[in-house]
Amino acid sequence: MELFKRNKVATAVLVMLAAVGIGAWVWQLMNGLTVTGMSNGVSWGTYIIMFMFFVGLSAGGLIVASSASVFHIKAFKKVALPAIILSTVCICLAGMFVLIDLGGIQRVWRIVTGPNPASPLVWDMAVITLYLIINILYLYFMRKGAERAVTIVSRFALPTAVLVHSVTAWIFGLQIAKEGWFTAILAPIFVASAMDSGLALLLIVLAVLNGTGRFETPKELFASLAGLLATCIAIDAYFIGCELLTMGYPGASGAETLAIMTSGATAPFFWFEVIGGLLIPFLVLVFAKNRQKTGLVVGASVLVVLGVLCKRIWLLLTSFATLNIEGAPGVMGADGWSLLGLYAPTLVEIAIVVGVISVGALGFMALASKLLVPVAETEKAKARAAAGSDLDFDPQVA
Amino acid sequence: MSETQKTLSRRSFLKGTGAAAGALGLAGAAGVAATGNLLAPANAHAESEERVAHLCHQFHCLTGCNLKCTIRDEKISIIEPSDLVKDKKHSTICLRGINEVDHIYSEDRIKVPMKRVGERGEGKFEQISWDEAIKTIADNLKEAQQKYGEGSVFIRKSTEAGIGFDFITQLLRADSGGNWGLDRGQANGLGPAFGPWSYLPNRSAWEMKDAATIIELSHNPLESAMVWSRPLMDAKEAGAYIVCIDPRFTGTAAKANEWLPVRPGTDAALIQGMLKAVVENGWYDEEFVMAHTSCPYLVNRTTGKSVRSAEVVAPNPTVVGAEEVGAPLVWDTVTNAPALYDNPDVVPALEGEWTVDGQPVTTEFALIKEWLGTLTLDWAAETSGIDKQTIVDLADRYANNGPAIIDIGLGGADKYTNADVLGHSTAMLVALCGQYGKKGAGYGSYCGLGANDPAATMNYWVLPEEYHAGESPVAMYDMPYTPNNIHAALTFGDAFTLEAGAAQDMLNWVKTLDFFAIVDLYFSSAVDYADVVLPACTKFECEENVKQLRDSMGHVMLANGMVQPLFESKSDLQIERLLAAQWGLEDLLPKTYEELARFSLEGVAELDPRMEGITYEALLANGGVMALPETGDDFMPDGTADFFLTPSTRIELYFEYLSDQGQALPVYEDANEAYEANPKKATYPLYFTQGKSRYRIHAYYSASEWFQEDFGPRINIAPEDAEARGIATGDDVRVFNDRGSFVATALVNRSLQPGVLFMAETTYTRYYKDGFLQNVTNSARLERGYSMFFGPQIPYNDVLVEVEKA
Amino acid sequence: MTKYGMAINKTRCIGCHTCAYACKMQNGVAKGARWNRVLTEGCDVEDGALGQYPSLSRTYLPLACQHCENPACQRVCPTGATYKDEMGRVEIDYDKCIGCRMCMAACPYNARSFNWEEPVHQPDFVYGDKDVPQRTKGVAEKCTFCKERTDRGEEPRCVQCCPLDARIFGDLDDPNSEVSKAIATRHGYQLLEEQGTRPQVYYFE
Ligand SMILES: Nc1nc2c(c(=O)[nH]1)N[C@H]1C(S)=C(S)[C@@H](COP(=O)(O)OP(=O)(O)OC[C@H]3O[C@@H](n4cnc5c(=O)[nH]c(N)nc54)[C@H](O)[C@@H]3O)O[C@H]1N2
Ligand SMILES: Nc1nc2c(c(=O)[nH]1)N[C@H]1C(S)=C(S)[C@@H](COP(=O)(O)OP(=O)(O)OC[C@H]3O[C@@H](n4cnc5c(=O)[nH]c(N)nc54)[C@H](O)[C@@H]3O)O[C@H]1N2
Ligand code: SF4
Ligand code: SF4
Ligand code: SF4
Ligand code: SF4
Ligand code: SF4
Ligand SMILES: [Mo]
Repeated sequence: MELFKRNKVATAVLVMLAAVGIGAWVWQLMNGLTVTGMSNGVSWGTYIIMFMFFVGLSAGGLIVASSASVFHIKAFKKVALPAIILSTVCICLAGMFVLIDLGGIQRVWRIVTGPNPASPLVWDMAVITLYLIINILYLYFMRKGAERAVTIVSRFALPTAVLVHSVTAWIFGLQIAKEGWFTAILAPIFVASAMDSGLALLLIVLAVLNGTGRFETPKELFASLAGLLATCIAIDAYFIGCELLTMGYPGASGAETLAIMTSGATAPFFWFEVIGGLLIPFLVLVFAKNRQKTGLVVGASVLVVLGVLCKRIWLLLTSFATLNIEGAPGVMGADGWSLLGLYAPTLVEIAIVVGVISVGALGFMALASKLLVPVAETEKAKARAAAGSDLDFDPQVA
Repeated sequence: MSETQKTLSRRSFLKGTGAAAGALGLAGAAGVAATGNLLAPANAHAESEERVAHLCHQFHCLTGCNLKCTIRDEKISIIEPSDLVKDKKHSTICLRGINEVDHIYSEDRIKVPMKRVGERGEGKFEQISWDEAIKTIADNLKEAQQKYGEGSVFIRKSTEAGIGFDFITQLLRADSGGNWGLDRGQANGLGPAFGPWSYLPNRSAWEMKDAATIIELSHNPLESAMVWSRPLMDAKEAGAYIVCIDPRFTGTAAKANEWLPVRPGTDAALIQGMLKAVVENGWYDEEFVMAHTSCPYLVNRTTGKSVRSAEVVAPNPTVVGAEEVGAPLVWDTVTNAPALYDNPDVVPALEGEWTVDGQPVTTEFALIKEWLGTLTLDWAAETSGIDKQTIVDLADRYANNGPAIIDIGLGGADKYTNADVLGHSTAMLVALCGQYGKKGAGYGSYCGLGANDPAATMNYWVLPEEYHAGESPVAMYDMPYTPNNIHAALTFGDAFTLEAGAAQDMLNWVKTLDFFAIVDLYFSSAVDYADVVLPACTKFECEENVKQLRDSMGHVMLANGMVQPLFESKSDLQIERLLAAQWGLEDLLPKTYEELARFSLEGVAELDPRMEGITYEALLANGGVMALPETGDDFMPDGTADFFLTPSTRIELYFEYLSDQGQALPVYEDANEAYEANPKKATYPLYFTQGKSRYRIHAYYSASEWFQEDFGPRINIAPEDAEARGIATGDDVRVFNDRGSFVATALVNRSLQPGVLFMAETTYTRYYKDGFLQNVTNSARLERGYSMFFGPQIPYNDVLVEVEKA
Repeated sequence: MTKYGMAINKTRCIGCHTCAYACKMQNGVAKGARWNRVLTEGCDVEDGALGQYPSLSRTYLPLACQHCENPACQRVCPTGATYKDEMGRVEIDYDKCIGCRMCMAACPYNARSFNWEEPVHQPDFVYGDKDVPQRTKGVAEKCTFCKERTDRGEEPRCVQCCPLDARIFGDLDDPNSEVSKAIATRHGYQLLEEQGTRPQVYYFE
């Protein structure tokens, strides 16, 4: 694999991190989820945060790529391939996080033999699987240059991407027990943040690919994607604003949750996302001339990605911060009683997360090696010729 | 902990007992044939071997529930309320009973006999054999007795350890520690008035629902008499008005209609305010007062002594000196002359001034009135911290909205030097208002020791006359301070640190002893100071199939179906027998619990026909539990107001025996340390109060791992006091005064009156980061206490401290 | 039909925690886990108080699974491990539980306890009712309404042990059952009614 050969150090580091992560996971399988920071008070943690995050990251790519076909945004077609690769890798990671989070993975087949149709998790698993299949088909047809097939797949891909986000959102958004989650606009919020984080990640990856000379993104396209990013940020901010207002305005229990977000345990994440993840990147990207500067765009994109990560964190944890029924001694966990949701990831969780991301990076490198052809190579032209004139995407086949 | 202690992990010991299980199963099977349904299968579809056993649980929660245990594979796996006592009222259990499933098997059990290898207090031990341990103890006790005389050996059983028998103290004629001093503060003051045992009510707690007013005075039955808070909640649901007097917002206060956060140690002022209101408003019950109290008795104004007949003696000896006294006289308004108090033809005067034998005399009532005239409600309010109107309203309610009960605690206000004054004052209030001896009215601690159930008649195993406990010239709590001849000690349970205040003084004294051995189940605080430590087994374990025979809740209960003693522990009886054998006296003792139980029941039906049919065999055939014939829902002892164990058999309110000490009437006095004007308050501004916790019987259950999940050494502090010291919930704080210090976890709790701390009594030293509660408590002994029936009360609560972040 | 339910008399409840330990014992609940907890309502310390000194109040709230008629936990459970049985109890089939903890996120009452590790028993043998299935690491557990006891026609352990008789168990579908009558005559109410879970555990004063 070419990318591995060219980046030996990086590859070695990633392989090592992945190995550590796998080791940590085995450790977790042996000892149970007690090796994590989760407890009966905060029963979901980093893995589920990462799950939400990667589902989101995944969507950006697919939405961009499929918009290209569905809405005939020709320019986007140029980046469709890396976008789909990215999307595929991210959705795999998301799925891995769900599985890693299971306490009884050895019984996971039960979900197939006896699914409960009312469970959003069943739907989410189904939709994720579907989504993965679509991604793979997409890649497969793109690689084959089967343009019609790509167009058809992309028609399914777009709604599936939206659905994957919505269903993931519904895992949370349908839980009346959790004040901070239970909102009808959680699905749109998820879609919006999927758009902005996915797009931002795509921009970063494109920039990196550009830098390595692996894949060239036209300057204008880059800028226009950055423009789209600014729009997505605005939409995301708008939804969040709506939600915050609804939470805070009645001055009821939602206001308490809001207070935890704005001044409580999860406040640092909340404010980072608002300022670092929305405000600053928007102010940077709203100016056309800034969008021309790759450095600024990448910087803004990094902020957006981090901002969305922070959002996943506060979104998940704020709702665990307090118990619906208050009273000492609270909820019992392995470390004793607690009145508040206290959570910090353990080294094991961090190792696993880093490991999974490393596997993701390796996977991306592998796919990119296989599917993306260095700019210098002329086969690009050849392929274009072979594809014919009505070919409205750039197959980039090797 | 010694190496052996460490290596004998629970796992390895369980393996051991598992091996023993087979053999025991056989023994058990033999038992069935002999005794009928002893091993009735608990469950038809049982795969592993299960059998059930019944026993009477703790004494020192003052309850003694019969518990049903399911023993599976020789391990006590389920504990539940007895199915052998019929009504729910008697089929009780609490969290501690259930918790035994864990507690019995606790890691902190003393597992093997040990001898000390480090310094006293260091807690370093080495395993020794039972033979060596017993011999060492005997040799040392013998040596002390040879060198210093019989009285030089001190043997004491902690209350729980002493249930059933105490032979060894008698066999060795050892000193057993004299005055009790644990929970008789108010009893000292109400005993002379109502009779020595009147701190227990003479009517059933189940009558609480018939009361219109219930005053919980320094009593927190919700934790200290959990099972007995049932009648209190019945009363609440029936609409009784409940008032709780406690510096702390206790569970009981939370259930009450009114909470009066009295300042610690000042309850007597509050009660005296009520007395004043009652007398000045004429709310007292004159008929009751005339018929049942000493109010009309004559007192010599000059000498302060009662005017008594020279010829006729009062029917009862006095409760204090047990000496006979002359019958009291009253002023007969018909003949206008003194007359015997119980002459039915006499119409006594309640008040008046006369001259008898040239001496000015008046009535007790007149003196009471005069004394109350010197008090003001403002003083009462200021001292107790309870508003004047509240005091008057409470007096009104108590006197005029009866029937009314005053339910006192044996803790709390009891544990101040001035508790007798409180007892005396309350006794006076009860007597003047006539809230006694009628349905729904009563006074005393409704804590389970009351007359809720009929008691059984049983034989006591008596040793030959020459064997009896020694003189005990000095009470245990005095030993660190008063010269005494104690040189060697043997305690069953940790009496030294649980029962004495100011533990440092006590432990420093213990260190001076030539020898100290302890027989205990858990690593209690005193264990660290012992030269030899013997592991006793719990109530659930015995070498035999039966254990204690007890009388509780109207039932005779024989513990049966025991599991073998865990580890290397032995039952108290066998330990006593091993010790007695060192003097060649073991044959004076019962060989087995079975022998003791058989003896206890032998021929009792001839003494008491109610015991008919309650034999050893019958008990076993009934699973170990049999009810006395009167036991049942309708058993309601009719404690009357006609007879009291006082010299004149009436309620005696004027304490002649204390007249020289100025306490014939309950003249208010500050506590020893816990009072507002104490200059010590500048350095130690906080009152340190203690009480019972649902998680403990005293320190017992500290070793329970289940309870450790919920509870440990915690000190409750009011938010104001915490804030002033920068203390937050969960902080380690040091509590200290001149006597010592300890570290505990702070709980900032607004249930507390600001300025007052509260901590549950107590927990063994090993569970504290440093020191322990008893280091700071007070060991002052009130001089007057020595002339009182129960002797001085240890003023555990009469304590000022300061707290800081540790 | 039988629909088991419980009513807890908060006036009688003295917060003694007996029910909490009775439950732990009966069901062999491991270290660090409780199916039944007794809360000092609204307070941050056990036996704390609400209000300002000296106008204080305190109530105890024994809390376990509410056996909701509309169980949020069951709805979200992907494998059907959590189910509502024919007696109206909400139960868990541990063999089907994949440990996803959807149910924990969904339960408004924090009634569930997860086996984060292989359960550690103190003391280290299997105490409690031998018919109660043992749980392994990675499954969720909670109050079963003492399924094993109630199946045998016995009352739940916590009901049997409550020293105050504050807990009543019975058939909610039978208007003459003690539990139904208590709820009807003493204005039984449900916790977090607004969550729509329709608990079958009621409280009354
Ligand atoms: N759970 C449990 N039950 C027990 C025991 C046990 O160890 N554990 N021990 C048994 C024994 S031996 C006894 S003696 C009894 C004692 O039974 P209680 O008398 O109920 O016991 P305490 O909790 O010591 O004290 C009662 C209350 O007195 C309050 N108090 C402290 N100082 C004062 C004061 O100056 N004035 C007033 N009015 N109140 C004050 C405390 O806050 C406490 O709530 O309990 C028995 N029952
Ligand atoms: N600071 C402070 N101290 C107090 C009080 C207070 O309020 N504050 N309260 C006081 C009161 S009211 C009382 S009654 C006393 C109680 O003090 P004790 O009468 O001494 O207490 P118990 O709990 O009866 O006894 C407990 C000891 O006996 C051991 N033991 C239990 N069962 C057995 C057995 O079967 N065999 C043997 N060999 N040992 C056994 C236990 O392990 C423990 O060491 O404490 C007093 N101490
Ligand atoms: S400790 Fe509890 S179960 Fe045991 S006798 Fe006392 S009240 Fe009953
Ligand atoms: S056992 Fe009964 S009184 Fe005690 S906490 Fe539980 S419900 Fe309340
Ligand atoms: S209380 Fe929670 S766990 Fe129990 S049935 Fe209701 S939602 Fe499910
Ligand atoms: S943890 Fe088990 S019981 Fe809970 S939702 Fe998941 S599979 Fe169902
Ligand atoms: S019903 Fe059974 S399982 Fe439920 S809380 Fe009570 S004892 Fe525990
Ligand atoms: Mo006591």
